[in-house]
Amino acid sequence: MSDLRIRYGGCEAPAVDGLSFSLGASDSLGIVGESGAGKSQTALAIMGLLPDTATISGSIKVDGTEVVGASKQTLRQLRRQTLSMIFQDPATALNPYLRVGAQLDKILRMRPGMSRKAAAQKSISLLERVGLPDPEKQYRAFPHQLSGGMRQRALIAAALIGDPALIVADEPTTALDVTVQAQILELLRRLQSEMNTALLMISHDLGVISQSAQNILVIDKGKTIEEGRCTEVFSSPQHPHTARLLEAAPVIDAELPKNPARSDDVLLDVQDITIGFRERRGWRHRNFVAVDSLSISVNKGEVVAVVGESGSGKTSLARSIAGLLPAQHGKLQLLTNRLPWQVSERSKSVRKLLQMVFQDPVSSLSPAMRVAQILAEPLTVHQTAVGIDDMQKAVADILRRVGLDADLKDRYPHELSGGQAQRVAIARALIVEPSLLICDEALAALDGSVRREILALLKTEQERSGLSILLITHDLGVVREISDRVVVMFQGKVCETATNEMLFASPQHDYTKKLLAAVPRLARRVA
Amino acid sequence: MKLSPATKNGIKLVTGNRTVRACLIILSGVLLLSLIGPFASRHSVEAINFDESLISPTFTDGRVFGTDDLGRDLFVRTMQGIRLTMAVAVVATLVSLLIGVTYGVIAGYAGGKLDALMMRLVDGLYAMPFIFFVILLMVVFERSMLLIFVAIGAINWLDTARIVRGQTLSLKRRAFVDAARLTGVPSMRIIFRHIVPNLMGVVVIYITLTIPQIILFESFLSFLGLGVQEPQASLGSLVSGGVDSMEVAPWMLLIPASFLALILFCFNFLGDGLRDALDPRGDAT
Amino acid sequence: MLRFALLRILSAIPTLLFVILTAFLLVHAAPGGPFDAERVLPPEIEANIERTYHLDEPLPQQFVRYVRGLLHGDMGPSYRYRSYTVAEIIAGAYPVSFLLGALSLLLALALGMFLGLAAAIRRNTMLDRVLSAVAISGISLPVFVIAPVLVLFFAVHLHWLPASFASTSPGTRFVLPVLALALPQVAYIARLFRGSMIEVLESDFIRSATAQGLRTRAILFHHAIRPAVLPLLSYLGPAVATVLTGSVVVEQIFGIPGLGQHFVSGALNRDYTLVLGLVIFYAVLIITLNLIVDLLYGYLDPRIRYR
Repeated sequence: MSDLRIRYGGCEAPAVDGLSFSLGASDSLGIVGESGAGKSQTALAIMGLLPDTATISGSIKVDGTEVVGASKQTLRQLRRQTLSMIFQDPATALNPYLRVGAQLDKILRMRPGMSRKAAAQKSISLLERVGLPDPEKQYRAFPHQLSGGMRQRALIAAALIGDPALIVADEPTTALDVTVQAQILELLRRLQSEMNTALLMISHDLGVISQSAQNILVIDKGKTIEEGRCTEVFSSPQHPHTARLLEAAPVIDAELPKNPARSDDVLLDVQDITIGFRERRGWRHRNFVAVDSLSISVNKGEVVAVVGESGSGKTSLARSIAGLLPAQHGKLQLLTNRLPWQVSERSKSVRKLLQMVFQDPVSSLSPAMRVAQILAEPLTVHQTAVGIDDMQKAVADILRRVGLDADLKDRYPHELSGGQAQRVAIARALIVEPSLLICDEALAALDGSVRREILALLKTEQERSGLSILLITHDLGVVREISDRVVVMFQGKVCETATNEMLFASPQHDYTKKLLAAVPRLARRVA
Repeated sequence: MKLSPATKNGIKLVTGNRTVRACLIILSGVLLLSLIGPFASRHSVEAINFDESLISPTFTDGRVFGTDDLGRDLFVRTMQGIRLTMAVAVVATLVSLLIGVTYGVIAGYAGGKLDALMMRLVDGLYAMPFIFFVILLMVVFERSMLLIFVAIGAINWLDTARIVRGQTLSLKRRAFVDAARLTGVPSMRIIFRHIVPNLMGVVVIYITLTIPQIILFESFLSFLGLGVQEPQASLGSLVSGGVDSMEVAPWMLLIPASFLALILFCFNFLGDGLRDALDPRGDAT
Repeated sequence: MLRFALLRILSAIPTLLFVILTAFLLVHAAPGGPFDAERVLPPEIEANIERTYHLDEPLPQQFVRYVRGLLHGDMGPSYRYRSYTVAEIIAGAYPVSFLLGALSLLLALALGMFLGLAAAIRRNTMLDRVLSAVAISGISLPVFVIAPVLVLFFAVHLHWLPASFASTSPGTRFVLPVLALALPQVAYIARLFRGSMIEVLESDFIRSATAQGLRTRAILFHHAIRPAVLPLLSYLGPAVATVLTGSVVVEQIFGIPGLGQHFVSGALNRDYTLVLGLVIFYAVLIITLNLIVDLLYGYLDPRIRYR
């Protein structure tokens, strides 16, 4: 496999602009870049899957066969025998209307001489090969009955049919939890060595690339900016953008943060909280416990991180404390006030003390309101600023504080970038001068470098005003960089509480160890 | 002063999309013609004159659309029919919108049991043969224009309610509503400041999709003789009259039928164009 | 699945009762009795008539009597055609209406799906654009405009086909009514199917199927057809309702002695029992069809079936 050269002009700016690389048989290459860098476009181009609206030029040769401008037949042959692709979201990449087995069988049955029975047997053995427990059961299951990791395994099984010479994996683990991610990466590594396949791994996550590829290609705005062996690029990046990417990647061995504002007075005290949902499954009602008699406290000026994977109940906990999700049992105390579960029953002065920043910056701002209106609303409600002049001054002040240009006040949310929108959301929370800020995955939707800036902003604000932060996250890198104390949640319970330092230095609970081990680390050449 | 995204979108739609623009121009042209046309004609709506019955369309004597079997001027009658049809459509659409949006917002915002109950009711109502009910209504009670307005409007709100409820529900789940609740913004203010403005796009689309349905329905009733009563005319009753004498006077069928089809075309194209333009995924043709 | 089906069937019963009750009350809320339009009757005769039609009983009792009758297929006597019962009239008229409706619906489904699929796979080509424009035009043409125009052209002008159902040739007399009834539905179904097909073809699982090297035909008929048909299935309920209303017009125009004609004449003659019976008949039909659609939906979408 040699001389992969892609270039295509889109509408205004080309999505991929003169990209060239080659990948030898049974080699692995990682392509890394921020969102919009053209990674996925490249993957689709290799598969010949670009939409008709894209114009493509240049040349992509796979095993000597030209992909660009290839006929339907050629492409189909390639996809059956040489190329395979694994997509980002296993939830949508499988047909929800067909059983997993039927989908695999269909691909197998295209091969000459493959009987129905032989196809079924082959499918089950493939499912077994990708490590699915009870493959016969999964063969008969519908995709919605499988977990995310299992679906991705099933898709990998589909990709293995036809012994491909190249597997293109486009962010295969982004939608998965970190421990599942580690398993999938492990599986890919194993299969790659067993089958002598070449692997093209596309990811925004340097850690993932480092775990799965020997070589790396860093791209930005559709252009190659750096390539080389992973270990070398990671230890001595040549291009400033690569250096920035590396710096922005939160790493769990970063220096411990200092927090002068921390005090020993308790601000928030949560006792024995239990949150359950009544879930309808078919016609039966089933009670599902998201958070199971959990206690947690936050001191004044302290940053407490709650870490856990999806389904651990961390978001339910955050929403319950905020008063957006009533709990069945427990006690909530903020300073001397006992807080009711419903936000609507809390007094205005109490509501002011507790604010929240959400995951998706765009949906957390009202689309029909301007930035200034969004920021002024809390002032009107709490009557902290009276009169237009006061209001305008307060808005201008807060914008400056969160590092935004004053001109942005007349914009609508959709006219802001993700980072700007998240700053506005933080500004809206800070404008009432709260004592506790709950950040629910507030950094998860942002790109590396922007995430870094927002993290820095939170840190500054926290130190400046002695704010307490309850940080809900799945990202141990973020935890390392900002928190004082860490609470690890698993299946609705706390499995470990420790200081930042202790948690990373000597984790106690098995789950914490597993979690820490699963975080993809950058393999650097030892200097 | 910057315009709101909704207004800007609206302006862009009207000026940008050729189909939408053409439809708007045709519709306003037809409406204008129906409003001022009758004044420009020397003939009255009701005057029956058997000496002048069944004149085919001609430019002499201002009989551009000819006359019907009773010698009434078809131009004036058609224009009056358009006015009536449009009036029914607008009033009934407003009725249906009022019910649909209120119902949808309440169900969507309240959520939980109330929502489930309200939506079960809508599901149940969907299964009812409404048209036959309205006919039953027309049979049982004295036919009046008001009854037609209200009856038609009152049965067409189901779609709007469903869509508005769905939108409200999805807006309510968005973080900005949570943020507003946290800050202490009262529910009414959340509904009117944060939710209703974001429903406008859907509501506009549903207006343009509801109007043709209602026109169709009204003309259906009138066609069967269960809608407007002589001497008043709507496009449906004119088509009905045209069918009776189409073999001798095809214009009596074709002229009102063409206007009806034209109006329905334009509304359907308009709704379609608006939906494409407002839906980011929509394919631009 | 069985549980799902049972629950669906049970939930249709209250809807049905609600429909019957509403219709019944509406009729009985009519100002004046059903025979007021006729000449003034001596009081003893009027009382006599009221007794024969049980109009002297309290309303709840009348309702129970009516529902009990319904269960035995008895809808009472017609007020107008006194020698017939409503059930007899319906039984005599429904075969021709049923044939007309079924033929139209089948034609609409077959032609509509074919055109919709053609437009979806040749998306943004001339064919697609022409089909889309024709489809919107088709939706905009009411049955009562299409039907007379078809008659005017094919029967009056070209003399190819009979204008009236009463004509002699039993083969050709269905052509124009079926066409008139089916054409708007063809347009609607074509548009709907094109839209849902395009949406499905753009989904991730189709892309992964393509990446797996499946043939276009396999993708269309193995992967795409099921999800694309679902919206069509949910339209089937409303489609039946529309065809029913349309058939009222078509029967009127072509002079077909079906249910629709009885409905209109019943409505114009204020034959309350007949109209009431027909409304209930239509309601049962629509509710039953909706039920079948729901069950089919559950069958086709595994996420509803198993959870």
